[in-house]
Amino acid sequence: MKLAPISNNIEIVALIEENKRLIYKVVHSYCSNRNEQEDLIQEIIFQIIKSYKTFNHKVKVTTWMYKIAFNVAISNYRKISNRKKYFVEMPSKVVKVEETYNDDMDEKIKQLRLFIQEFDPLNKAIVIMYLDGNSHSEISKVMGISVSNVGTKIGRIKKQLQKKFKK
Amino acid sequence: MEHIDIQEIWKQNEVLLEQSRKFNVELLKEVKIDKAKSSLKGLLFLPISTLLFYTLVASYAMYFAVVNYDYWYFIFSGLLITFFSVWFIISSIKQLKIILSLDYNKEIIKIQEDLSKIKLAIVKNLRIAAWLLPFGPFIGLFLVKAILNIDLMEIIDFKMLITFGVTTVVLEIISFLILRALRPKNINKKWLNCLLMGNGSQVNDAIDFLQDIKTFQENNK
Repeated sequence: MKLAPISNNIEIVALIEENKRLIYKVVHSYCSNRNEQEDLIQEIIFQIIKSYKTFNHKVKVTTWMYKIAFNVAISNYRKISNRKKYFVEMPSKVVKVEETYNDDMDEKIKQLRLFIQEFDPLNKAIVIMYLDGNSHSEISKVMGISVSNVGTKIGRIKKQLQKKFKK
Repeated sequence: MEHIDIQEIWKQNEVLLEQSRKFNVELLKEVKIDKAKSSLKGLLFLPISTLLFYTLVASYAMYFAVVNYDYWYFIFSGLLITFFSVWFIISSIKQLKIILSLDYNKEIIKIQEDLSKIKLAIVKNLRIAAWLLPFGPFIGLFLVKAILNIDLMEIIDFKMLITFGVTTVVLEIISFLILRALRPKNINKKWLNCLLMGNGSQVNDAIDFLQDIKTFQENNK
């Protein structure tokens, strides 16, 4: 599929810029290596741009982006796709990851990052969306499971996180 | 720890992540997306190569059967190979359909299931090949005629006939064992990894993940 040059599509660039935090959070939760994080961010951005032509504007932008970001991240996490990955001709990376940890970073943030990384890939997606304040209904639409199942899993996840922090 | 605290920590994490990443919007505008290759394209190789190869094989086998219409065993072997080639072709087309319709904009469960099924395609192809095994002697007749233009049935004697019979029985047993081994619960065997051309761990991973997805979908309180 030939795609129009992205410079013609200011909307998608603006959408990506507006929601870049979503992408960062997903990537950081699924991938701890800095170089791989940069690759993963680019693959997610590529898939977002590719999917934009068929984007149904009646759906929330964040719901749409979560689906793409999680699907790419989980596939990458499981090494589904060929590791000769996404390649785009450009002089430097679209997103540079400068550092992973800051010495001054609150211990609680470090712990939360670690705890989230310990979840399996599917539950990780629920954790991230729950912490981002998404409703059970939105999470259900992204995951493809029932709303009641989302509720059950969130309950379990909350208990697990509380338990981990208490240790 | 109340969950509100966790969400507060999460917000702080979000700020920290944004600070440690530089997003170059201008560079993004310059990206030549049409020259980019999706990582999913690597999955296309097996089904496309299988499709092309077996289309050629099926075409030749049909031609072979027609050209050698005087001999029932050549008609049978030609049609047999055509049948199995078409089976491979149909399997490849199904795989291609899944790969080409992959849209990351769909629910996570659906996409991850599809991706895992694609990885199991190699097992499907092996199962088809296993079904073909018992017909080995007819494949032999076909190949010897096709490559060397020798009709083995004209030089066959009683001993060769017995050998054919024994070979068929042995191949049927092997076929049965392979088909059993290629069931999901049995896949985790070291010798099978050779048969799967080194893809055993990927197949195992796909099977395990499909089970994880099934468990994830169950609403266990």
